[in-house]
Amino acid sequence: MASTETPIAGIAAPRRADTPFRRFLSDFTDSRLAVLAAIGLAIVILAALLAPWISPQNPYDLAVVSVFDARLPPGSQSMDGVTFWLGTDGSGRDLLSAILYGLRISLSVGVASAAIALTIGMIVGLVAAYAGGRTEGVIMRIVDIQLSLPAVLIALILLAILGKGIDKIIIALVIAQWAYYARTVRASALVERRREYVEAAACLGLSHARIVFRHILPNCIAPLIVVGTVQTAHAIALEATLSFLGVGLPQTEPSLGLLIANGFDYMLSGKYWISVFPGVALLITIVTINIVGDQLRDALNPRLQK
Amino acid sequence: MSRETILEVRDLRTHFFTKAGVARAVDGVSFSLARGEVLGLVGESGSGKTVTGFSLMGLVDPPGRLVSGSIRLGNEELAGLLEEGWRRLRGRRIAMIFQDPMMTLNPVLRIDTQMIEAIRAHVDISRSAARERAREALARVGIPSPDERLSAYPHQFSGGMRQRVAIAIALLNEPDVIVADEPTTALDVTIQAQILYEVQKLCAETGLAMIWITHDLAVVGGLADRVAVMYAGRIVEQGPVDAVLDAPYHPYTHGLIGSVPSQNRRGTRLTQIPGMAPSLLALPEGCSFAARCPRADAACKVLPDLLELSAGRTARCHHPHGLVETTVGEDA
Amino acid sequence: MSAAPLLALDAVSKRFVRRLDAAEKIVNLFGGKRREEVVHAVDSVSLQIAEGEVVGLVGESGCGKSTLGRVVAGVHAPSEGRVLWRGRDVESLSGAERREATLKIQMIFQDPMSSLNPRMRVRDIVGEAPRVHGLVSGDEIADYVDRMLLRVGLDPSYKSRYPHQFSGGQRQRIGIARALAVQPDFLVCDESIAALDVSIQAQVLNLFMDLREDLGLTYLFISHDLGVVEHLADRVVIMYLGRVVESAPAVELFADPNHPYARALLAEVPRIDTRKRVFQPVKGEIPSPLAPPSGCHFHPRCPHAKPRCREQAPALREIAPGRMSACHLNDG
Repeated sequence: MASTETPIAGIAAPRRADTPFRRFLSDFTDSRLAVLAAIGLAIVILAALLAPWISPQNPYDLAVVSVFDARLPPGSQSMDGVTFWLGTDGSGRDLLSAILYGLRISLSVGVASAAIALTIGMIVGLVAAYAGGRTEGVIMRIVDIQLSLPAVLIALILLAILGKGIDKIIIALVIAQWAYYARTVRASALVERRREYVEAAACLGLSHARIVFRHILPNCIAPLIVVGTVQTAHAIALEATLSFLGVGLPQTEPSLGLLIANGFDYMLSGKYWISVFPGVALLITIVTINIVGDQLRDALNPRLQK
Repeated sequence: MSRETILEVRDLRTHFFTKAGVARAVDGVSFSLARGEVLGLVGESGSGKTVTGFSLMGLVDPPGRLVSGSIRLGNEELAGLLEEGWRRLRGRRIAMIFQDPMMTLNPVLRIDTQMIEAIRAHVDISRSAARERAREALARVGIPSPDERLSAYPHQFSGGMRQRVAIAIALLNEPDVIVADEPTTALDVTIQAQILYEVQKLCAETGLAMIWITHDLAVVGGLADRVAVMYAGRIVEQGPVDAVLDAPYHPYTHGLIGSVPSQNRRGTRLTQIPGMAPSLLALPEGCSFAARCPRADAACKVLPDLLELSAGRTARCHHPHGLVETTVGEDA
Repeated sequence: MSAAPLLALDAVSKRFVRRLDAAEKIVNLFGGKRREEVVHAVDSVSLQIAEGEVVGLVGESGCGKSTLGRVVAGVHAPSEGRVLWRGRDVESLSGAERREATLKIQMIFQDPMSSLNPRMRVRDIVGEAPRVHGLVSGDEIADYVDRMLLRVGLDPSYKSRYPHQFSGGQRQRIGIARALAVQPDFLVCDESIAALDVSIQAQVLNLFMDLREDLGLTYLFISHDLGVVEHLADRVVIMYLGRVVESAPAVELFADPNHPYARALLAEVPRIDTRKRVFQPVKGEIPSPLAPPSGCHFHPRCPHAKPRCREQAPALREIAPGRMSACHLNDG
């Protein structure tokens, strides 16, 4: 009786020809709001990426910006007959163009700092969970201390030391945020580490690096993506706050926060649009990211999957 | 078998309306239960045994729904009751024990608080009288020093003791029927034996009727009076335990018993049922076991009825085992 | 028994220590009495397994059987004692020899879901280790994986799928294929069929028996299910709270268990051929492995306990050729 007698024919085809991704897609599209938010977010990102090509003017080209057009209300026309759909700001720049360019800066600062913080936090968290013992103890105490201080405070102090600039603010945001990722990854890596497939990998004589990065890490990606989206929104908001306070980006690289700050002086004189429209753009960006993040959390939550 | 029937289930259908289609988890289940009787409801995962239990308790949550059928407890019809009606019955006339006792127990409340609440939800008696009754219930399921244990929290009990407490809670209002869903599956052998011992005593002494849902034929053999075997949402065979386990009619029951190691000669290959249970979302036409059945032929494309093949024994099969010996004409 | 055993455990112990956290250390500074908790999961166990032998390891929860299995498989290093593979201490080996010893002992796990990496395709689950260790060259790996899948009764055309697309029994087969892919001599099966349906259990057990015959594998078969162990094992080892209490050839043990715990365990296993039996359980609960009883760990539950049993732990002694038992009663 050889083992070939084991009933291959009797074993039915595995259920549904789906992949984890297709299953995720079907779960994600359960919520209509989330689909709308995802579309909205896609438009925001596209607009930011394509800003140089779709903006009515280059707001930083001094040749096309005229101080005579300053503080025009929405819908006005310039002297050369160009319509300013969202009005102009204090230096006569087309506000729509300024917002599109600002969005570009805000998004890239947010995404870049989130990506770097995610990478650092991920490695630190994985090492802590897999090494255990004293290494883990020391790392997690640092994380605790970091998390007990408000992110704005950390960033403010750092920027006061480092000075202004895109690179400086990204460094500040990374330092203020890496600990969230470290904690998230460690929590899920601790759970995964105890699963039998990790023990199986040890039995198979696979190296520690392979077990950590090929086996444990892919199973910790889902919570990382969720935290990553939400933290990107936080990073954008944080950068806007810092720029609004005047310690973030220099005037030469105006993000949405800086645009709001610049228009703030005119609020009381009835020229609302200079501040409000960049504010609305910021709001849409952050809200859509958060809704998408929330739905990602539901769709990627392994406990809700059957 | 002339004892008074307490529970009568007729053509029970509970379906789940999922995104992927309608899963007929329970599809036309009928059985009855007499006072003091233990019915073993046996099946593998996905056979619908647990959903049957939940249907009897009115605990089926959406997307599941009781589609049709009748559940008569004494002279009351339960099918179609609203949540309010179920709440009045549940715990008083029909109670449930789960595989995980923490389904019944609240981890942050003391045992006595939980038990007194459970009593006073249904009966209007004083707290001290209720406490006394709780103490008696704990003693009855063999919990040592019940007075002290009453003021403990669930986490202070071992797994076996927790299951006893869950049984004691189920017993509080002296229900007519207890539905037990794999209550000893997670327990060790010696602890399982203790629980089975208490349950056996209870049913004999109090006339409590019990539905014991399990995958373990051996436990059913030791405990139950009658057994109903479920496969893919339907009962395929039903009858007195001895008769069914000694000479099963249905090829599925036959295969199930044959695959138990002790039924095979030591060290030889086990009799095995090939293949695996079909998905409830894509049940084949006719007999759902046909694809795995060594006796299946063209006739099995038509769903067989549950027929009485001998006194008190029914099976749902076109080609039952052992019919040559047991004459079909017996019940005619 | 003259040749060196394939695998030998020499007084192996495994302790798990829960260290104090910072808060507890601070409490201690102020006069608190927090102690580190030490669990002797495995307490000085010696065992020899000959080539081609199937040893059944039996016990209830907390007896340390799973921990012992993991020490054998090299997942845990022993706290004390030595694990000898073909007569050589595994800890003393290094480089290629160490890898050889690691790969020759493989483990089949209990939970067919958590033992497979959910993010890997079947072909990577099975093919990763042989590729990494260079057992098979890059262009042969696909054929090799196909052969492994066929060997365990799976259709190779499903190898691009993920574990969740398979049933429990199929997943267990994938786990077996993964182990076979590194060409082991020895399989540690830790409750490998406990999570499967009865009809699927028989299929997987048959696969184990076929593999033993075809590949000459040696097994350490860990299970709480005595029926399975009786069917499969040449020799049975029974553990209670970290210690071996009895070890004997399967036939002799099941015919005439010596240790009172072994007797209690055998008496209480529900069997399909014993009906409507009266359960007569051994009293008491399984003590916590954190605070095992003094002397013989079983004495609080033992019907024959004498004062000596409380004070002195009985040694595991040979009571007949090939039979060992740890009980003072054998001293007459």
